[in-house]
Amino acid sequence: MTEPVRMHALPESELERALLNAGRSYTASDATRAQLLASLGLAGAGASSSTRPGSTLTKGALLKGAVALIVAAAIALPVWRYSTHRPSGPPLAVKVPVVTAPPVLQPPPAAVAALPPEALPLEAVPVEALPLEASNAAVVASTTHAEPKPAAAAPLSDELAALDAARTSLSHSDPGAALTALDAYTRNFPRGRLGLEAEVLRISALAKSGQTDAARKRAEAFLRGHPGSVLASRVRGYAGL
Amino acid sequence: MVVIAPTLVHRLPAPPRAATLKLVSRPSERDTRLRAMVDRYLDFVARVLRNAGTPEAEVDDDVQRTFIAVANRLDDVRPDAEKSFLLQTALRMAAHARRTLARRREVHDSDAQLRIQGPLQPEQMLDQKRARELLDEVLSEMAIELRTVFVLYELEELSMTEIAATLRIPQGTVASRLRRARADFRHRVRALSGSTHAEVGS
Repeated sequence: MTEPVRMHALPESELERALLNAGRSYTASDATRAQLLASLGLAGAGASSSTRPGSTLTKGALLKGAVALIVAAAIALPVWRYSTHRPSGPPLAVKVPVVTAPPVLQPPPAAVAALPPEALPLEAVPVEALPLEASNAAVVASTTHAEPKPAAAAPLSDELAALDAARTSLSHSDPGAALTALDAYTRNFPRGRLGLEAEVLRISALAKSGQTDAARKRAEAFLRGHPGSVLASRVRGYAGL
Repeated sequence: MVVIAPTLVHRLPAPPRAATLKLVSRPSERDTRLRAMVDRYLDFVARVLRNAGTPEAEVDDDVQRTFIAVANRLDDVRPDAEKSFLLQTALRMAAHARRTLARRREVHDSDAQLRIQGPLQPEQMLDQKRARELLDEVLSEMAIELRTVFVLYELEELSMTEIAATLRIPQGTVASRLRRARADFRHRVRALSGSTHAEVGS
């Protein structure tokens, strides 16, 4: 069967090209990736690939940035033209525009670590992904962009690496070291975005270290707070519930 | 952290099977495979979800749901069927998200409050967000069966054979839907721009 040429190869108008490009260029954010890895129990395993390939400030990153700018310009022009030459007739319902900051190239984790906390961009974080103790404060910080706190601005890659240390210890049947690593995680990331994943690892480590009562109590508290969580079955399994 | 609704779990696609062979992975192999899937298909899954109707604010959660669903049945999924399984799962997630959004709108109709009329200021046009909003508007008005074929062919560049296999419909139906979808899309884009160009050649 002969397949027709894709529309983006022969767009009828600049607006059509812009819309198709918008649909084709959508990508997941690094925060999405980090949370996905954590929820899959992969945390920072294989730390070298815990960030996107090419996320270091190399030729690849620069090329990516240049392409992004070109795409943005290609999209912006027809949209601008459409918006300034809108046809007469019934006005189109338009969503309230949200003024957003211009796209910023993501520096590599090493570069991010070297920046002062106040220079780091805040990332939108799902409420469910915030740690139990600090969820309200974190939500305010992530939605109002008011006075970023150092802990909230810590790179996700650091959190992933910290959880990976605990996970590696667990996989080597060393729950004591895992608990030490998790204590360090809690100290270093008191408002960490992967707090729930850390709690699940802690329950597992407690159970494996023979502290079954403690594991059970924490598991019950977790299940009360997140009864429908996809992590719930893992928690039940770890605590023998 | 995401929650998979019990009703949704039952709607997830049956994993493609290699006859009766069940692939059982050791934990390290499993992690390696999952990570490779994330590296390879994360953007693909996020894009399908978004273009198939998952609201922006819910893409992260649905990405997690999609991959967790695959992870839960990883041993049943052939390596060469990973993309197909992810795609089918993502389409079902997006369908669920659309239904939820529709119900929400019935109750609150928040969109009506969020919409304004008239041209945008220059600084508001200079980002991809505006184009994305217009695309959402066009896609959301298309019939879902046309939208799905359109997204898979025009935005994901799947072949018509792949689309037919994924949606489990005849290739002739894919071709017919694609023809109608392209005409519909262009009609709606023209309506946005006021263009009077000729109809889409098929």
